[in-house]
Amino acid sequence: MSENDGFISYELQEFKLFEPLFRWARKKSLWIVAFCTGCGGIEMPPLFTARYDLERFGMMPNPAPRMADLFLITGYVTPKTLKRIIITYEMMQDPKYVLAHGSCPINGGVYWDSYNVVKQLDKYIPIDVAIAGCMPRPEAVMDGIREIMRKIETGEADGWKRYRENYEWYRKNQDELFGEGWREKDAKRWLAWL
Amino acid sequence: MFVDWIVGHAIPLLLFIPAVSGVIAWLLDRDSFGELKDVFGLIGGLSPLVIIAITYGRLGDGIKWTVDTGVFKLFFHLGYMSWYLSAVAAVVAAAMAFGMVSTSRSGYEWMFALFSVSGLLGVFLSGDFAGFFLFWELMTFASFMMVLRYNKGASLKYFVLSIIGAYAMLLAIAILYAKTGTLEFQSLRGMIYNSIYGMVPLTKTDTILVYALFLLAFGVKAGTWPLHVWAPDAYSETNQSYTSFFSGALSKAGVYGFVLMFILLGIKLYVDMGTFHGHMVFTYILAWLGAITVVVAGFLAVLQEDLRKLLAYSSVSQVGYIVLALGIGSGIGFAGAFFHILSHAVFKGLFWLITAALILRTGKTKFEDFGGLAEKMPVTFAMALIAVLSLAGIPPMAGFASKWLIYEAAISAHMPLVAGAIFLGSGLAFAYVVRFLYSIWFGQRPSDLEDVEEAPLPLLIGMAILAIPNIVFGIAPGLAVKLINKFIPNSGVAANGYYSISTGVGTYNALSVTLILVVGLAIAGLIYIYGAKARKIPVTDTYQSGNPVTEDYNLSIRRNFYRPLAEALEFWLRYSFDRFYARLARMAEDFADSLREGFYNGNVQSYSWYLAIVLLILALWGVL
Ligand code: SF4
Repeated sequence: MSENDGFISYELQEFKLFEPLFRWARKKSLWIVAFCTGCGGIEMPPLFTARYDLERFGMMPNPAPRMADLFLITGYVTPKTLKRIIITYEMMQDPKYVLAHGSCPINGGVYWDSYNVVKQLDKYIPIDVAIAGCMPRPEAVMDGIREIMRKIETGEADGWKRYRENYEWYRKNQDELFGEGWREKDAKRWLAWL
Repeated sequence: MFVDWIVGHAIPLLLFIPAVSGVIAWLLDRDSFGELKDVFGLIGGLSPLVIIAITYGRLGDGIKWTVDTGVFKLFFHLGYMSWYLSAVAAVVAAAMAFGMVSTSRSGYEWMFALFSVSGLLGVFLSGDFAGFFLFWELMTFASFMMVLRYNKGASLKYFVLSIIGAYAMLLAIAILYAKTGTLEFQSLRGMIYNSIYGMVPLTKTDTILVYALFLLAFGVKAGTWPLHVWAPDAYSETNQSYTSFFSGALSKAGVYGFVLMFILLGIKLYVDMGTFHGHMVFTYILAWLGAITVVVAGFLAVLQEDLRKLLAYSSVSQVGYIVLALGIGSGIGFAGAFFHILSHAVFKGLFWLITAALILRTGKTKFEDFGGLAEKMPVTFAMALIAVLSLAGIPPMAGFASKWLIYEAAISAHMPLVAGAIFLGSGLAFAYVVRFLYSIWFGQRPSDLEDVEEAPLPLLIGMAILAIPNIVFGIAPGLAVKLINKFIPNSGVAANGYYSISTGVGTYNALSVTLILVVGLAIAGLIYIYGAKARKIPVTDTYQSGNPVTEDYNLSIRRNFYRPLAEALEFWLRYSFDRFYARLARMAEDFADSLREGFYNGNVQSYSWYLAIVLLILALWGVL
């Protein structure tokens, strides 16, 4: 697959010429879904406050998935949270990128033998950049962000495309973990308690 | 020629065709002529529009008609002002007639609906107080009968208040007649002018009394605070197609009454009541009554949980604008008031027809039962959007032009607080139309509305009749201003061609605003089309904080939409004129009861005592 191939195949075909401009614009204004999971939640605020200040990269924490394009998974993911992560991820617009912090999303980290932690997040949603560490320093996170910016520029950050193309595989993994029709089941379980 | 004959007989035709065809429709209300009654109803409803259209440009010095009833001579006069008002009424009547084809349940409804058309036209065309009062009563009675069919309590409330208003008016007319000896407007006006120089014995007290009585009389019809309490009930508890006329046109009778008061008594009231901070006192009172109505009814409209109630309060609030504009008392104020008469008639009529369609198709009236109907009734939704834009005063619609004039009038008359009240009222208008849009058309659709259909064709025609003037007079406000300028000399509002109007303060060029809007929409549309591929998703695919949701969850806010506002207003909502009148009525009832039980007690002894007391009084008086 050549570097540019298919990067804009889902939209903006008419503006192929401007693609470098769009990529530059995308990397310069990454908006983050404020979805803090696990221990990493405590490392998010320092990133955005005066000391490390991510806003100088044009990044904004943002509560609405439809407006965001960067999803930070900041720690261990339980199946219960994973459902919400998947729903939120699917609700984000293309193109969207996932940055995983810490060891837990990569291989379960210290919870490698827990019954209740998802060992390999990449099986359920595609990860573009992972940062190892338990908990990674803000500098490491910033390094990861630099990396994702580089990948956006070159078109390597293509998790959203992989998700679309290999949806069957992701779907199978999700269903294996949660059971078929988990969305409806999970929604309906509260009805009895209303 | 036929047209000339119609022009010559315009007034009797206008007055009688609706009423007579109403009676015929009622007579034809048998199963075998089921459809015929609608035909006659349509004839009655459309004839005023046709006649008014034919007389356009042929008024000359005004068409006159006199009937000698033996006791009274009734004068009628179709001048420019009455033409304008009748034209507004005729447009709404035509739309109502189409709406009633779909929603009327019987010939009874046709008859009284058309009676009120005749009544209103009679009020506008009368050249003297005898005819005015006669048709006023016809109008009140007919609208009362329409409400009576649906809800007895609401109709009685309306009737009692209307009667109080009507007899206040009768009293005022009697005072004027006793002092001047005439009922005819032209000569009455001359007499009142003379009374300033003491040639007619109309004293200052009389004038103020007449003024107060007229405020009561016309305030009831116009729904001015604190006499508005009948409106929410009466407007909602009747055939909603009829309400488009009831609230769109009939409420203008009260406003016209105020105009009449200005024409007949204006100078006298000015001389007798003087000025306050450079404003004429009698108009100043009117302006504040209007301002309070706008704000109070606006707040109440925002807090309603029933579609019809919301629109009813909104109607009260919008008529408050007209009263307020009249109260400003300047030429611009009058022009704004007359323009708003037109735009309120067309947008509120449209709103009620939409309500009629909604009730016809869903049978529901509460906001909590609606939702997501824009997909099911797209044409009605488009009409609703026009009505909403016009009511909220968004530029290319008639509502903007008229509100703009009222603002200009308030500002140039140096009434900052009144202007502030209009501003607040406009904000509230936004708030309640948002409620209307959100709860009915958008959001999740309740499962029992799955097979709702588009409104029937006659209703849609009726809506179109009202939607077109909203747009036409919005883009060409000069058209309306030209008509208004014919009967308000030196109004201070100039029409520069059809598309632009200007006052001393500013100019509103509707065409350029519309063009800019269209170009802006086109650019936005291009960005939208080329910007990204839009994908349709189900309504449940929404961000419930990442939680999965299904149709079982009601995610639209249907109840207590403005709860925080209600909580903020809690103190004020504790006082209600509605409850006050209800308590007053109960006290009157109790008093009547105690009188009956106290005096007619079935005790022979006490009856003989009454006789003895009367004899005693007579004896003391020296009769015996
Ligand atoms: S990697 Fe360490 S810090 Fe991060 S979530 Fe796992 S246990 Fe917590």
